[in-house]
Amino acid sequence: MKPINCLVLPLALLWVGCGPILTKPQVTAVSDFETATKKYSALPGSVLRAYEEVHSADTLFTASSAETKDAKMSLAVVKRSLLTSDELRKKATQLDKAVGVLTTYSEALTQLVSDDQLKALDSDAEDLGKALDGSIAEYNNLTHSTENIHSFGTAAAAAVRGISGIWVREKQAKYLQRFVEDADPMVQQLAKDLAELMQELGSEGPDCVCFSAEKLKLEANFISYFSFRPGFMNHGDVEAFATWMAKANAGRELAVAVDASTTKLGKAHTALVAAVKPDGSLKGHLEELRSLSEQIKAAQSLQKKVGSD
Amino acid sequence: MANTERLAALQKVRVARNAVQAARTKAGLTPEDQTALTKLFFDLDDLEDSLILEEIRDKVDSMRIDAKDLADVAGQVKNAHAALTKEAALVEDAAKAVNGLVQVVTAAASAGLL
Repeated sequence: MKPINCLVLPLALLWVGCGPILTKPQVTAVSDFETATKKYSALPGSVLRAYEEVHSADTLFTASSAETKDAKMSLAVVKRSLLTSDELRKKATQLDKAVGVLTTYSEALTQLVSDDQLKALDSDAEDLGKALDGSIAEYNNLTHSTENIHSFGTAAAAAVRGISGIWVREKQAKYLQRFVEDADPMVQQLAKDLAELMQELGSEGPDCVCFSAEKLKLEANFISYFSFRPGFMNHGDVEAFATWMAKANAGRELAVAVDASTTKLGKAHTALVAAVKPDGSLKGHLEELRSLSEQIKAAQSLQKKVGSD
Repeated sequence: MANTERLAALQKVRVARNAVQAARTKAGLTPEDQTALTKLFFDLDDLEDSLILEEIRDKVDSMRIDAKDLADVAGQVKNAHAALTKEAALVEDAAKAVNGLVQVVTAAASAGLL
């Protein structure tokens, strides 16, 4: 039996009984969640910005319905519209930041389960192996002993790498399980509140803060706007109304789509919580062992690398 | 104002606003009546704006509170990652210690002490 097997395998197998270690599907689940949150993060804010634009256009058409003798009142409406837009844009930015925390959280999880520590272990253990073998060779040269000490640096380095790697993976698994469970109620609450906002913006009726109400207002403004301007309809103005009506429709569709994504995001986190729990099934054990085997393979590849130098 | 009350108020404001808007287009209004209706129309529009802003403000603010709690967890995850990195660095210390020991042994041997 090679030295690596003597040192690493028995210890590694002993470790299996100590606690579950992080598996590749768990790392993939974390990475998938991060990718999803990154793709999702800009969506809710964009819905609110679209709403602000349609609402602002609506208010400006309202201001345009005054007669010139009432221009002062109309100016007040324009100023108020600018303030409202400013406030809505600020809220959209705050919404971006609130949703951005989901990305920060998922990035932190990805970092937690990354191979960073393992890469550091590779280089540390490699240095250890080289130092040991180099010093043993030097010792053998100096002593001219008939019984030279055999190099064992590579095997020792591999053992350090293998056992440390398993230790890191076990800690990562424990942390991951704890943190996703702790975060789940907060993620669900955030997803629920986000979904409610998107549902409201995407809903229909006169009693909602929504694109459909803005569209109804645009239609009412269309009638009064042209009623106050007798003669032929102006194509440019008709086109402007049509453009904003189309934007109101598109905004509503976007809100509905983002609502669906938000619901999926909440479900994805629930799935993540389940995925990082220690799996009691045979498949789970096999997966844990596969992960364990990867740690050993990493150790073996280090052994080969150091050994060939 | 609670969310349902606010939305009910919003609906009433919109109904009133639409009624005033329709009244403005009727023929035979005096310039004074026209101005008075326009003022009422704009006031109702202002009220609608305030209710919309309140609704959005409440919803976004509650999400900011949700996010703050989650940000705390994200901070804990980062701390755990830093702690793990630190612990993994202990291997490096062990490697250095063994390396130092071997060098001492080698030096002792070369000096004829072993």
